[in-house]
Amino acid sequence: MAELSAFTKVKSVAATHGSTTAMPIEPRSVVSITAWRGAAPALADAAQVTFGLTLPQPGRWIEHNGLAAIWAGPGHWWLQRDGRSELLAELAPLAPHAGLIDMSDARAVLRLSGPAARDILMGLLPLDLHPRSFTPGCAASTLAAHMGVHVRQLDDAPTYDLSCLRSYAGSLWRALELASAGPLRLPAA
Amino acid sequence: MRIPCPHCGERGNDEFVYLGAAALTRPAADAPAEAWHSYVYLRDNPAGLHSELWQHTHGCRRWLVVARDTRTHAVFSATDAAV
Ligand SMILES: [Zn+2]
Repeated sequence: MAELSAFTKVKSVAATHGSTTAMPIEPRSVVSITAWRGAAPALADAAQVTFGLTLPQPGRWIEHNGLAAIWAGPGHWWLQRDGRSELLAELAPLAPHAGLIDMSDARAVLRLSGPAARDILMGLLPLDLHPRSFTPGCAASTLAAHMGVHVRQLDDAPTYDLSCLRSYAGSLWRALELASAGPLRLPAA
Repeated sequence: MRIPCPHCGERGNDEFVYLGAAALTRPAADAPAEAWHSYVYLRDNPAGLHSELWQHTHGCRRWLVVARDTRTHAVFSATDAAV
C-alpha cells in the first residue's frame, strides 16, 4: 500500500523563514508502551537487557541504536524508530511487562530545526524552552493551539520534534506558521 | 491558575480537566437512596480550601488531588491520586 503523508495538504508550502526548516518525519514507527501494574521494574530490566535501552526518567528521552524512548507519563513511554519497520514485533520481548500499542499510523511527527526554532515554539507551546530549563534530551507533552502534542529537543541547533494526532497534522502546521509569523521553508527533498 | 503536576512540573490549567471533589465517600451498595442522592448530587461549595480531582489530560494523563483556594485559585498541593 502506498504511503500517504499526513502533511499532504501542506506540502506545497515552500517559503522561507531564514534557515529554520520544518519537515515531516515520515515514515516512522511508533509504539506506546505502558507498564502493567507493578511491572515497571521488570519492564525497565527487559528494555535494558534486550535493547540496551535505559527507559528515561520523567521529562526525558533517550536513543540507542536508532530506537528512541520518550517519557510520556509514569510507567508510560513512546518507542520510536525512523522509517517503516515492524517495531511492534521487535518489541515483543517487552509484552509480558507492558501493554504495547502500535501508534505508527495514529501520529504525525514534524521536525523544526534552525536558529528561529526556539522562538517559534515559545510562541506556540506553554512551556519554558529556555536552555536553562529545556535542553537536548528533554521531552514533554502539552498543548499547541488546543492540540495535544509531545515535544522533544534533539540538539542545540535547536531541533525539536513535535508529535500530534495524525488528523491534526495540517492544523499543527498552520499553527506553526502563525507562530513563526510567516510561511515555513521545507528543506529541499 | 497553574498546577504543579508531581510528574510534569508546573503547568497551566488548560492542560487539565476538572473532575470534581476529591473527598467523597462512596456509600455501601445497600445504603438508603438518600445517601446515594447525596453522594451523586449534593456538593459543598466552600469559599476557601477545597480538595479536588484534576486530570492532567494533556500531560502525563494522571489523576491528581489538588488542594486549591476557591477564592484566589492559589494551589497549595498537587499529588498523584493513585500513589
Ligand atoms: Zn502531569
